[in-house]
Amino acid sequence: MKRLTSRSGRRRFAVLTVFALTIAACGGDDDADPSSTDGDADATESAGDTDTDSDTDSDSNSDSDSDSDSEDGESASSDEPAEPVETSEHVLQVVMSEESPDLVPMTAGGQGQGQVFQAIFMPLLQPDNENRIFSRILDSWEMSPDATLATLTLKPDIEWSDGTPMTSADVAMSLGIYLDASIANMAGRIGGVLGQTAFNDGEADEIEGLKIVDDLTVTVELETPNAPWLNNIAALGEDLPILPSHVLGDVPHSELLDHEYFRTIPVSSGPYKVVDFVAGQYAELERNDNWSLGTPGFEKVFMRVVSTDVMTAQLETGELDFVSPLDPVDVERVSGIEGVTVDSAVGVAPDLWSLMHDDGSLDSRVRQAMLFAIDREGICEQAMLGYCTTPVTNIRQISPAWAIPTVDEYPDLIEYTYDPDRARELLAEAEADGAWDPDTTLTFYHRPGRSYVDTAIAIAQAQMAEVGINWEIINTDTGGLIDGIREQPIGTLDGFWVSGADFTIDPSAVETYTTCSAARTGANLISYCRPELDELWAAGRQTAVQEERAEVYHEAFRFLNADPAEIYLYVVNTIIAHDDRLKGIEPHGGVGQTYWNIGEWYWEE
Amino acid sequence: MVRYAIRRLLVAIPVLFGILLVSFIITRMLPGDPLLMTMSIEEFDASEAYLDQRRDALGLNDSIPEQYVAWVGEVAQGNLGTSFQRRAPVTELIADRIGPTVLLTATGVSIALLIGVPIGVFAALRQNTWFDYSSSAVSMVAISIPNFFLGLMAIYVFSLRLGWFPSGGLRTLGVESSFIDSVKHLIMPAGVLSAVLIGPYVRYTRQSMLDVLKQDYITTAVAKGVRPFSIVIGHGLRNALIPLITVVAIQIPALLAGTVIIETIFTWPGMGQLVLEGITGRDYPIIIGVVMVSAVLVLVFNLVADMLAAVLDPRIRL
Repeated sequence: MKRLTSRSGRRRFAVLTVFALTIAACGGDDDADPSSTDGDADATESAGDTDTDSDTDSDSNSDSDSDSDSEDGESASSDEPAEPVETSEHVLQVVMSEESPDLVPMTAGGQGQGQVFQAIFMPLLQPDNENRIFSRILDSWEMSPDATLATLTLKPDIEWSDGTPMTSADVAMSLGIYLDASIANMAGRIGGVLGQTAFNDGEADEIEGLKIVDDLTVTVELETPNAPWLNNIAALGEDLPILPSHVLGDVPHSELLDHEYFRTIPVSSGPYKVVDFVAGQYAELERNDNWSLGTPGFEKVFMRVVSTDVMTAQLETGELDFVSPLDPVDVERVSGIEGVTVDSAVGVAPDLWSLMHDDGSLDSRVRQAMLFAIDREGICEQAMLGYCTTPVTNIRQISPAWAIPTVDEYPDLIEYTYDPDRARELLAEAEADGAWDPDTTLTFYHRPGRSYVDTAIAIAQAQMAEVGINWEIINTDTGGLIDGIREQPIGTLDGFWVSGADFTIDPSAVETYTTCSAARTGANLISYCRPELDELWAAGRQTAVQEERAEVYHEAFRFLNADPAEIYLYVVNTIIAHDDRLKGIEPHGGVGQTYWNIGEWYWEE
Repeated sequence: MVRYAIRRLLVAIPVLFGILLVSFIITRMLPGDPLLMTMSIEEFDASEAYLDQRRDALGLNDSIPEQYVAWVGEVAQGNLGTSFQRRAPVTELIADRIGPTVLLTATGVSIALLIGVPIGVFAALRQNTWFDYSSSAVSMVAISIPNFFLGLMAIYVFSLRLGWFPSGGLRTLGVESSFIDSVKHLIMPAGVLSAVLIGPYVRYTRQSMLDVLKQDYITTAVAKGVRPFSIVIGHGLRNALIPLITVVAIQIPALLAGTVIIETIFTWPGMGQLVLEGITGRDYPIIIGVVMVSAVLVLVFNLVADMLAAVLDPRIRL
């Protein structure tokens, strides 16, 4: 054996072993050549860096509201994008905040899909970054005084990417598709159109209330007065892109979901066109030279799915030019990257500690006690480093201001500031009345993932335990949560974390989450049902005059203030970061609306 | 040997169907409605008509046995079904993803073998020396460090600080594809994968070599004056490789379907990410399709391992 380890023997051995192993280990393998791969994917490019600023928010709840009047509008001042200074050879690399499984708008629901749609389509109506409704394609939109007839008038000079003019036929066809309950998951949300039920029941070939008046005008007649109908269309915004009738007009609805058009979107209307879409990886877009509103700033855009772990790293290396949403805990580090700007906007929806009511609601004093027990301001500071706001009156709706009751107007409105002693008092009262058992352990389903949410939930749990409300937290995923809410026996879970939607456009947005008819099987996941509140929601829909609507919604929100349906923990800001050279960005509070003005973005060397 | 292979393959067919049946049933027992998983949880306001129509189209209204029979019928025609989430054929999705994964796995395993086996052999030859101790220590460290940590560290050092390699993806988007660009993208994920594998390979090889070197036939070969190189390679390593081949053969199918963490960190569009998306989205056709591919790979690689073992050691009769 000694001979084997002599110096010359070792040398020869080493060389020959490597050679032999190369043959032995690789023999028969056919795939070591990197060029032979047939897949494709993400990644890379380089840019630069420079400096930073990070302001906590660029908008605020109180000032971003009052203009959201849906009843009628004309293309508002913000609807005309500024002409980019110049177009750039630079390939814009941005993130999709979540994967877009496909490009079929009828099944919309994901932020990733909405972000791609922002770049390739123009919806009827949408909210700008101050939550004002505007349109890039409509000249005017108005609701009749009795809130039963919406009139939509297109601008005369809007064209599709193939040069075909956009007409009322496109609008009518698109609305007809989105109102078809058999193929569109939002049909109920924008429903109530005259003849829609008959159409969906197969009793009519078309929707009676949907009428083409002339080449540019469409009217939508509603079955009953529905003042926020246009606002709901705007709130769905990018999820309801107008589709080309000259491509899809003859396709039966039953064939639409699997139609070839939705694989590549060969004809679109937005600033960019789809070149390639690889689900789970990227959307490759190119400039729409026929964009009706100007010349987009980039010849090519890649929207990529990147894990949050490496998103900021790729911004730093220049592989990405723009990232969103940035986790608050990353702000300080990203702010320190040379050549990168951090900005933010107030979010459009609170994160909730939802409370189940399907097994009978907990006593309202117990729910109030929960709110007093949690230091929501403290959570905001500690978990989100101040990049958030706290709904102190526990009202889910954020704006418009006219719809939100204030303590100045209504001194009886409860402000749920951190007060553990008050929480204990309320619990003691409830216990004395037999409405609360201090030995109760409640079950909370949590979907961990975002670090600041995990921290917030842990703090809230600990603070409630301090006053005697004990929660057991069970970690699960979305499937587990859906199962717990809808399939498991009533009473299986008492609370869960959820976030999303948009509560800035119209106060009726809250309705679907607390209305009796949507309990358990609809969007009212918590099964909160109060018939008197349902009456207010109905009145709010049927009242066309804003002042009168305000009174109705004030009453509804005061009701919910005293009888909390859920705990609104905080509204986290949407934080973005981008290369300094990327200009024209106006941060939007809705993550799905991140690219609401991407046609105005440009590169400044 | 050919008859042996055919016999093994025939035996594998019922095993495969057994695996698929169990997987199919378990998949269907996962909590969560796959149709609702295609929507945002905050916006569960789709009408019953929509949900019913979609469930019907996806076959979710059928009983599990009916769904299984329908799926087997599709498989018999070479179709693994259609993804719920993506509306694309699963065969197409797997075909898109398997290339990058094979590339990553083959490169990672090859690098690990090329580095790990010689170190293991040399450590065995130099048992209880500083080299042996050092290689054991380094192997233990490599085994102990989780791959997500190694991946993030690699990105921090080689991408962020040194700027040598891109931090993720298969190629640079927006520029012409090139061999050099592909290699640059491959180095970090393959390097991290190999770093994770090298430790076990060193230890397996070392232990195996030590066992072999104690055998009488090695002593005989030395006594007969056979050249040291021939003894180590021809007698020692050849026999020591048999257990290692078994380990690698079992490992490769698992790697092909399961390099989830590395693929996620490096945004590598492979099978691991597809599996993850399938599981989190309750996309049954994707899950069961990948299980099928994995099961086939396990059976094939086990067969290949047995045959290679027989080639290396003719005493093993098939």
